[in-house]
Amino acid sequence: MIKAIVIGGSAGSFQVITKILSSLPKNFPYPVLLCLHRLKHVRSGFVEALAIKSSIQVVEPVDKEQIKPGIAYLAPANYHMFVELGNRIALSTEEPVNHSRPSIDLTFITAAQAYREKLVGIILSGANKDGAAGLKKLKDLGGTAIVQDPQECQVKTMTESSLKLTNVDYVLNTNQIIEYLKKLS
Amino acid sequence: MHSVSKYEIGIVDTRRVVQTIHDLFGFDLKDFSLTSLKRRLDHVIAVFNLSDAEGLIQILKSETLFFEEFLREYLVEDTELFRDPSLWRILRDSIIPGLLGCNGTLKILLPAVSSGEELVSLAILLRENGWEKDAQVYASAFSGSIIKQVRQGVFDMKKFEVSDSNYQKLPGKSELSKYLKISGTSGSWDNSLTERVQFIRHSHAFETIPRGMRLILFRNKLIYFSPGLEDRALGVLFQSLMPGGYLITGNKETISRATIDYGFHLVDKSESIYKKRIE
Repeated sequence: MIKAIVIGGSAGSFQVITKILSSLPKNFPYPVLLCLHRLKHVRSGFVEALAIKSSIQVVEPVDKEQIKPGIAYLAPANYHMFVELGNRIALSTEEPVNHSRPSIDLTFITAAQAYREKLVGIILSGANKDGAAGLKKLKDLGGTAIVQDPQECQVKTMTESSLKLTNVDYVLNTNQIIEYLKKLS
Repeated sequence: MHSVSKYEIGIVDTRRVVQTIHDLFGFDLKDFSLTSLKRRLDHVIAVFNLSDAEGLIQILKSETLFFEEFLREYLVEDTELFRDPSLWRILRDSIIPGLLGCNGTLKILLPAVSSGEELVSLAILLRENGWEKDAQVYASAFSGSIIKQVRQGVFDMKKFEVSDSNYQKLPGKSELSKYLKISGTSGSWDNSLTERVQFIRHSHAFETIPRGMRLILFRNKLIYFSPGLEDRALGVLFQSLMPGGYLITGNKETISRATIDYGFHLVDKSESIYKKRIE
């Protein structure tokens, strides 16, 4: 029984995430929480770019927004995105973690605390170790940890840091990630 | 930069800290969102080098003045000067000039400040445009320790680069460094920027907020408030605002009550600018 998918990515992850979003079934039955590193001063354009090809709705949530199945929630520029009790989004301007706001670690950790074993977490290509500690927390709390195959990543730092820290459940390429998510639905 | 803290407070200990603070100081931490609550307690415990929740409870009980410092660290500070330069441009080019046309001093309120960045950004804007004598700025805070720190003008130089980049995007009329005294990694802003500000201390009932405001800058505070505290704060702020005045929240904070219950116009969605109707 799954309640949510959480995905983190940085440099080299945009095309991967676009492909994943375009391949999901229209009635994908889970919320997808997306924490992608982005320019903090560019507030518009990113969610629109992701939404063009996505088969599910992609939104930048406002604070306290209710999390619903079949919607992808993109962490807004210059805010951390948390999962709050009561299945709501909480945003925060707390200090950057790993030089990043939004921080993938914080989205993963709060999602893991809210959904525990009912969460699937995926770390994609990136040039930063952000996400590694978050994926470890997710795995420690019983969630399913997936890392994009570093061989396929444009930038390997993020996936390799995650693999160093956590004994993950799966190392998958983009197509296999898509197959995995389709089987869940 | 902060990394993920090591000590993590559990649910039982969180409840004990909340209860202790409620009993001793009548302050309800449940007024703040719960995910933040646990994370902020971890932060406070790390900042003051306490071992765990028990250590925090002991110092709260034994040192009466510690609670003020606790609140200063507990509340999330403003992140940078001129965050969202696009909003500051609108304030400079249209909102403030429009309000200066009204009779009397332009009263501006910054409620629940937790550090000085937003306040100093406003002060610089007023100075650069020659509006200082036409405006009276009020800043309110939950803790006297916050007010003291803001008055001292402490500025974290880690925020300089992003602040300077925001200032150039505005663009400001001078150099940001002109307003700062920088020595190595520590800095402070020019005290004359905040010397005319009236500071107000209040509890979580916001009981001392003055009336007659034409502009309330209230960005990225509601994200830490529980729905109950949000209701209380907005009720007071709506009363404080003159008809035709503006309330500005963070760009990801929407307040449906403003338009539904209080008849505000949402005049700019992407910057979250609300205008109170002229009755």
